[in-house]
Amino acid sequence: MDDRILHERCCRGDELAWEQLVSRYQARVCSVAYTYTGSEEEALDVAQEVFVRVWRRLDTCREPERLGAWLLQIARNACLDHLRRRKARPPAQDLPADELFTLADPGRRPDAGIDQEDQRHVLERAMQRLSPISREAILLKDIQELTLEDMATMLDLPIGTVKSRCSRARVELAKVVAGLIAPGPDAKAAR
Amino acid sequence: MNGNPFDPRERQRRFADPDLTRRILDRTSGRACGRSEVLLGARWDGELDRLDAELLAGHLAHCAACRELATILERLQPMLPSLAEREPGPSFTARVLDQTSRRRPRAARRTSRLVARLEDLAIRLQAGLRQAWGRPRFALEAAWTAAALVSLLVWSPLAPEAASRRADAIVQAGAGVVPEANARLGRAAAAAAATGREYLEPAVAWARTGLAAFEVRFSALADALRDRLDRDEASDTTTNP
Repeated sequence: MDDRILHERCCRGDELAWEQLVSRYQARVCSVAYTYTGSEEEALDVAQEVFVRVWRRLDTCREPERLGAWLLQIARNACLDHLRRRKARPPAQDLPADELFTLADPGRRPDAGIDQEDQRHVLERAMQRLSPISREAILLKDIQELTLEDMATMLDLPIGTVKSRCSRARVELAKVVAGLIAPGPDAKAAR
Repeated sequence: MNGNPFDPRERQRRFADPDLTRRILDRTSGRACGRSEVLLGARWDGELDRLDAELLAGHLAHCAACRELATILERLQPMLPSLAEREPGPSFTARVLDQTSRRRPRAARRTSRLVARLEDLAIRLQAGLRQAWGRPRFALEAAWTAAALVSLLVWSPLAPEAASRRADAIVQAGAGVVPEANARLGRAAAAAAATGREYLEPAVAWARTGLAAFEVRFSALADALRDRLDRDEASDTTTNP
């Protein structure tokens, strides 16, 4: 069932359609909330709040075929509201030193890559270390794979600005990842 | 063996030293890594033209730092979409449905919204009345209302003969309201000085203006009533000598 029909059924009060919509998008919304809040627990609370907002505003979605982008917009707004309430920036949690060293294998070359299990872990850590603007750019463009036009509408920015933000953000991310997988001082000393 | 120094290929090999390039850049435009990073970011979207791609490749050939970045970027690109979803656990859907299904479908929601609005209006009205009762100019407004009622009573064609006398008594009683209202306004002005002149003083000034207007109208009304009473008495003496 495509998003447009699903939306239409939800608007008519079809509870099964609503359940389907929640199941379809909950993982994406949780991912967005986690990226903004940096906390699993807060992400779950925000995600619930997102779906309550979506339920209340279902009839305000003007382009149901682009339901995903609309929902992400609501998720973003809910996250920003949450952060405003928390009166803090998205936390750039510093890793404890020992955790850093477990990620940094002394014998590992940057081009050797990291195994599948660690990939997500390293990426999530790296995302939390980015500046808020870069984190948002990577999240929307490269993780949620929104179009530049959707991003420009969501962020209320010209497309050129969005494009250059994305470009800078990727390099910033690559540098942070390089820092995370680079050998630690102990490894250097052992050589 | 150093080879033939006059061989053009040998000369090119010897002078194509990356360190030499770096030293020259350090003394001229600075390192090109900044520009290279911009192009690396753009390459991700496949938006690099042939010329830029060639220049970038030339830079990567001798800049280890940018080469490392390029390698990481290439690896990141397919990995990032794996972060698009984060499963919240089996109970999440149930919790969301529990929170949202308590609301009824749209038609029912509209009715309940209307009821909620009416309730809200009733609460506001009640609060407004309670607030009005505590306002200093409430006496003034009550006096206005009383004056309007007296006017209706006196000049109405259905008014009984003795109404004018009763009206006079009401006017006499009403006259006491004016000094009382004045005193209350004075107290309000004193309170304004203590709690915030910018809000209360304009209100008090407005009320004083209203009070002055009321006094003018009230005295005109009293005069009119006295005239009418005099006329009534005169006609009584003419008909019943």
